[in-house]
Amino acid sequence: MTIGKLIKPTLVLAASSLISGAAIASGITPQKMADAIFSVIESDRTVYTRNVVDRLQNKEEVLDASEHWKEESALPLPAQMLRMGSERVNEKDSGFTYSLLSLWAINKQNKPKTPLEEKALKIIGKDPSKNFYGEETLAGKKYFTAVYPDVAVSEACVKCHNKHIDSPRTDFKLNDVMGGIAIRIPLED
Amino acid sequence: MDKIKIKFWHYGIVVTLLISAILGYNLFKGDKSLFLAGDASHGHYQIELECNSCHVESFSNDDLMQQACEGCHAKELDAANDKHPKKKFLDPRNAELLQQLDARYCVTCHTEHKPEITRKYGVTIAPDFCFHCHEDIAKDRPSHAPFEFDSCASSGCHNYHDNSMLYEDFLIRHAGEEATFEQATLPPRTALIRWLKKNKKVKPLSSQQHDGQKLFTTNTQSDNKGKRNSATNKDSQVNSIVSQWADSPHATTAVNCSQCHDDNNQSSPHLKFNNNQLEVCSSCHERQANQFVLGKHGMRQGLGLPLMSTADARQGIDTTQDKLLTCSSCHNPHSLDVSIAAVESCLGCHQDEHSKNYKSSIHFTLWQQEQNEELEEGSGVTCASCHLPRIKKGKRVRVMHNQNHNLRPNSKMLKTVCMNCHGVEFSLDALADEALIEKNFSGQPDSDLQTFKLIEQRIKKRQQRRNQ
Ligand code: HEC
Repeated sequence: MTIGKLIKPTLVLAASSLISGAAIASGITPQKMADAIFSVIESDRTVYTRNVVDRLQNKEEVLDASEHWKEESALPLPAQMLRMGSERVNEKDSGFTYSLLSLWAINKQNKPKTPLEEKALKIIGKDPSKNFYGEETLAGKKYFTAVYPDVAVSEACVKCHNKHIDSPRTDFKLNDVMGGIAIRIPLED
Repeated sequence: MDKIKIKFWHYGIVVTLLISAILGYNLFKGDKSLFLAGDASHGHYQIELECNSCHVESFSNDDLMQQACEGCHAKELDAANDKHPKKKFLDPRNAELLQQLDARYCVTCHTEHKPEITRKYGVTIAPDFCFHCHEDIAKDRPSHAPFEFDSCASSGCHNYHDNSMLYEDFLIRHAGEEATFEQATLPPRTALIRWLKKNKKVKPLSSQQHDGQKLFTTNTQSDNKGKRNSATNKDSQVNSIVSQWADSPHATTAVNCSQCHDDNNQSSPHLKFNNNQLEVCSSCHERQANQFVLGKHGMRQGLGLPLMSTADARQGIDTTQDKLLTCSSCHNPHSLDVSIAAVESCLGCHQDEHSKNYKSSIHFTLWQQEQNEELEEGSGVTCASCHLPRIKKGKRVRVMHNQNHNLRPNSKMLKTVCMNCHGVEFSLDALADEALIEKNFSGQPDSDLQTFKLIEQRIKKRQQRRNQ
């Protein structure tokens, strides 16, 4: 690894923490910022699930959602939609990142990777009425990390996950916590 | 008088100046060849002397280099639904993985100018690279426990970037298909039929209606200077060109001489667009031209460099001739006989084992039978059937003109090429069998690929899940 590769991301992270630092100075805490971002993500996720996937696949029965949406000319799954959005945000160095995680992930990339992710998913799994807020250090950089419960809001969630060949859990019920949305904001040291 | 004593350091200065002059000339005026760190990979050697294509600035940093890679390759990766795009690795939760293998940069795995360690697809990293992030794969997939990490990407099962034809749903849907279908033909091309349908009012042109009189008269006058013999030669040449044209799709679609030629008193027939053939063809065949410059035949032209010549080629090409590569290298622009473009045009230059073995293959026999009208259209398999495949999108069937498009990885041939006639299992086995490819598919594929044994297990597990 060359110094150039290290310096660039460090500068970017420093710049973005300045942005969130500025937000803090004007009275918006990282938690408020994360909550606001979450409400946008959550709304878009629900709208896409209900008004696009549910409508076209289950009600009008004209287009299916498929993991291989590109190859099969189908709709992306709601979880893939969320990840595509989050990857776009990553590309733009937006000053925060987010991801959809689960202790029972179909896609193993969505399993918890950091100790905080693991702890947070366990806590919100037990009591979905509260979000989890904490701080963690990743590769020498400090982050504010918020994790929000992702609940089985419809039978479709439960059915698809329970029947999926790669789902490690097959007994989800309606309103169970299926995972969580993690939002990370870099902090000044 | 004092004699100037030539000391050792004087020699030093002279030698240094000389070397600098040679290097300077080579760098600024010459072909820069003295500055190449080592031969470029087969993907880049055609453009290696255009250093700036990749090294945007001298000693440019990794990010500029990355931009240069993406400038040419990003679109293709995106279209193939790249499984490891850079954007996936920008999330800090992957920061630790990046310390093992910095997947944000192409050059982490593809170092240029290192011929001694460069493998297929220009990969320069040790072949067990998947290990860095998927070390515990056997936990999620116990079936994978016996496999070595250097076999993930070399077994025909997985690719780092492009798995667009290797996903389970697709393989399962086609599992159990027979090796060769009874009805085995390629889809017919639709461009001309569609054009004629749309342009019903356009009348085809006959040989008398060509508008090249002026082209030919100026040529005959300037060329033969009163020699009768060569005048008759010229006449017969002209007649043959006119009759070829009159039988071609150009005459059918009312494309006359003047659409491509201008008649500004050149000694030989001159093309429009300053005699730039690619631009002439591109004025109607834009899609094909855009694809052509993405492949190895046209990549030099795509970057505005002089045309590629067979003399510069590396891989199993007859380098004794100096043929330039442009549209008419394969397509005779007057006859437009695609059956020549489909085989003879290729074999005129390509003389590697795979190409040399084509004419003893079953594919070629079928092609001969099709040519003799013993078999229906689309039954034969030519070089073009596989390397310039007919791609079906909705009702259209178009010919892909980037002949490298489906070679990287070759599993891209499954849907658009092999599976027109063969079952998926047979096709996948054949594409992974390098010895069979060299024999140009004379024989049966070596079928000890694990893919379909694993797929059978997965089909069973899926059924169990569904019935739970
Ligand atoms: C048609 C099937 C299907 C439906 C319906 C569905 N999911 Fe998923 N879900 C998946 C697949 C497949 C993945 C893995 C996608 C990926 O990341 O590649 C996934 C991923 C997830 C993840 C991330 C962890 C993991 O398993 O990889 C969560 C959390 C999740 N879904 C929750 C939900 C909720 C809540 C709903 C209902 C609103 C829902 N899903 C509806 C198929 C489905």
